[in-house]
Amino acid sequence: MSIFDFWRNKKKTKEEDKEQKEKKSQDSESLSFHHVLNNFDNCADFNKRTFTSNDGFALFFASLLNTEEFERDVIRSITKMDNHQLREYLAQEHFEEVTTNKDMILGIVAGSVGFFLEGKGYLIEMYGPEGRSIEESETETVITGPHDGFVESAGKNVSLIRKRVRSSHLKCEKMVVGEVSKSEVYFLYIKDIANDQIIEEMKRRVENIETDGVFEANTFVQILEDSPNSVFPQFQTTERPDVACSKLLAGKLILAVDSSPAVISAPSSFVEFFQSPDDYYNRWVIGSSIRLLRFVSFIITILFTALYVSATTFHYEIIPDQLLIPLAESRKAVPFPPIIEALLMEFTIELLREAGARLPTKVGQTIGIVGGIVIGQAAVAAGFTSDILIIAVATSAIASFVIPSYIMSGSIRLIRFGFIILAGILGNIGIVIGITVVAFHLATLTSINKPYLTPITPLILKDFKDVFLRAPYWAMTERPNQADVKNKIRTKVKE
Amino acid sequence: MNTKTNFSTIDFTILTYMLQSGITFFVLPRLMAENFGYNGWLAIPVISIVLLGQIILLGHVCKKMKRTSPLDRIDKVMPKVLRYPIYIFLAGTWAVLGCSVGANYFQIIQMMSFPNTPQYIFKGILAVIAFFILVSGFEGFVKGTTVFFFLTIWTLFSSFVVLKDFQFDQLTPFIFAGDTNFINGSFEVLKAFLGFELFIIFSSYIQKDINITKAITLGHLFTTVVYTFVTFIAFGFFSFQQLLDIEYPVIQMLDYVKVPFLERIDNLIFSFFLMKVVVTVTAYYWAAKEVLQQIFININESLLIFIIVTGNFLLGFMMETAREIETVVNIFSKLAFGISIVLPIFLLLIMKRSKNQTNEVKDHD
Repeated sequence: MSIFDFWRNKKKTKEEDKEQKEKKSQDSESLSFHHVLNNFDNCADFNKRTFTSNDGFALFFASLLNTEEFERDVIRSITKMDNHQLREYLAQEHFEEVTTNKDMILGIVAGSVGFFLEGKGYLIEMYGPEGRSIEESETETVITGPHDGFVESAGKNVSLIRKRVRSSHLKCEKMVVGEVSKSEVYFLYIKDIANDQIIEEMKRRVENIETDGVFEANTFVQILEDSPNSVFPQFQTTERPDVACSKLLAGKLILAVDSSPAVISAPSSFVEFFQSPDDYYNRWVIGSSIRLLRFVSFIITILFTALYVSATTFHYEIIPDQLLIPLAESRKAVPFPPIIEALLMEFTIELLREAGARLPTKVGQTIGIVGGIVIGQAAVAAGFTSDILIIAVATSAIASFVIPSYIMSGSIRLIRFGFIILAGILGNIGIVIGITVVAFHLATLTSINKPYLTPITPLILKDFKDVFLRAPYWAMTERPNQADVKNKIRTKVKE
Repeated sequence: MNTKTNFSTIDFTILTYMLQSGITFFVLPRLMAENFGYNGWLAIPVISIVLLGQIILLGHVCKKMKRTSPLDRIDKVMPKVLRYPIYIFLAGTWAVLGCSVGANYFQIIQMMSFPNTPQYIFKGILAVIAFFILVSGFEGFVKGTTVFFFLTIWTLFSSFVVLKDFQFDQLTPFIFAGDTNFINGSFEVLKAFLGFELFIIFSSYIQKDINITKAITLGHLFTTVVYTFVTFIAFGFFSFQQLLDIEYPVIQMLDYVKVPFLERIDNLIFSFFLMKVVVTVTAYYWAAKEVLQQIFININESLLIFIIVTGNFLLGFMMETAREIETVVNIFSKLAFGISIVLPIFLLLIMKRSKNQTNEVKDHD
């Protein structure tokens, strides 16, 4: 780009900015039918309706409306009215009178019908595009417990929560995010339990967001987080209303983003990503055992392959004799050092996982068979890798999928590569260096300024009832400390 | 919004334990055998109880200071000419001690598994970790220490595995018999307990509702139990002569630990001690940074940390052999021990003097 192009573009941008500013000032000026109409030129799905019996106009997006309801309840009546009758009809309380172009435009894009009569403007909410019906979440499945999941409508999601928490103390505040998308974000919390400072801090963060659009909760999380560069997610997202309700009762804040089937819970802790609703629906002993299994899976995911690399590169002495001979036999034909061998296999597993996730289910299964059996066996037969490494890599991969949160599972799978490289360079001490760095990073992370690794650090022994084990309900009488709740006792919520 | 973390006494109890227990842990049974003779392990709880007096004094000084910095108090009563050399001495002692602890650890690691890997690679990694911990501030340091505690405490359970080879016969009926050197031995035990004295510097960062004396005492008692237990097992596991001959008896003992898929995990367990070394080194660097900040008031904190860490990394090149490292550790731990006695007494005197002066002013008024 030449300097002249740059200067021209700069000039153009300035002119565009000027135009936008003028447009904005016009938007906030008093209501003008033509201005509103001009705003929607080149919008094929935009409708303008005139009536023969009166001078009224209706402006709307048919794609955003519940058209059947609109025709039946509004249009049929209006078509028979004269100006006087229409004026009285529009004065009813379900019509909202608007005085600025901006309010009228925002109302129409949000799914309301705008009416113009004798220079005055009115809005009636008719939003009702067809959406997905309530189904079970595919990413957070449970064996027992409720099977309904959130959908892509924040309104429906809020109703799913309110259906479960029938309390006037459940508050739901709305904010709009995104300069262009104007996405609605609902703040849900239980007054008298949730900490006001956390709510205020979250509102402040949402207000400070200057972006063109937000369409999904997991994207929104990355904008709101305390440390956006960390590999670990600092807010938990869930597609399950029962989980969202339990978070609310624990004094947390829930953020429902419109057009996202997941809601955000804040603050969140690292251990929450290892909890599943099944832990609570099962007997506590079973729930605790499964949860322990998940933490063991976490250790297997990050360390198993790394330990293999460390042992076969530097520390053969830690392998018992009975295991050492078969291991040496299987590695005999492998032409690569253990680190390359392990990275190749881990890379292949990740390829298979990604291919399986992107393809339709039936093809995905084929990929699994081709990858798992054909490539796995062929790689060993061809002397590309040792069969013990195949066991290590496959176990690590399976263990990573035991972690209930897909986002966290992804983070853990990524850091596993770091551990393998460190093990290949420095053996056991390399692995410990990796653990030290990750542990310290986790210890210093915060979720909306609250410690992320609570209750491990700062140490809160009382909260260990629901960390590695899930204590029986009679023992869990208090809410966890992380959210700094107003009311710690679970059984004393005022109604 | 207030982002300050609410710590509890137990966090600082853990910090005390993590600061005290270090590399000496691995050589303690030999040192006890060399200096206290047969059943030398018995000297550990005795010396620990004596040390409690010093801990109570330190806790008392921390309480009297009411969470103010001890260095600010020194600033008020001493002119620059007098206090700057003292500060440089304090910072130098603590920084070099921290550096030598790290060098000592990596010298053992190199001896065990990486004879061909230059030490500066390990020391460089330690320097980078220490830098990031120091930059994260005191809160981050305490939080990290608690996590490191949980990641290392399981290694103690490996001692239980060797219990099956424990023989009471090895303990013999003699107590403190043989070639003994009680003075040197007492100092070796005191060295093993060093680290708690840094609380005098940390105290201004600790919440007011934390009982520092209680936290240090509990941490110290826990360290005593761990040291006594492991040394006791070593005395029953090895013969007395073996204890005198083996350089690192605890590492040798861990060599016998076997689990179905792994054996001879001494190397793995010793590697986990890196976290304790990181805590000790960072704590001493932190103390050095606090003191140097009193001299270089206008310097950026991160830059000062960088200078301390880099300086010590370069200093590490002068400590390559085991003998060099041992000499430096011995000299500087003696100095640190001296500081741990003199500094609290000195601060008590300063506080008493300023209290008297305030009273005089009041009387005069």
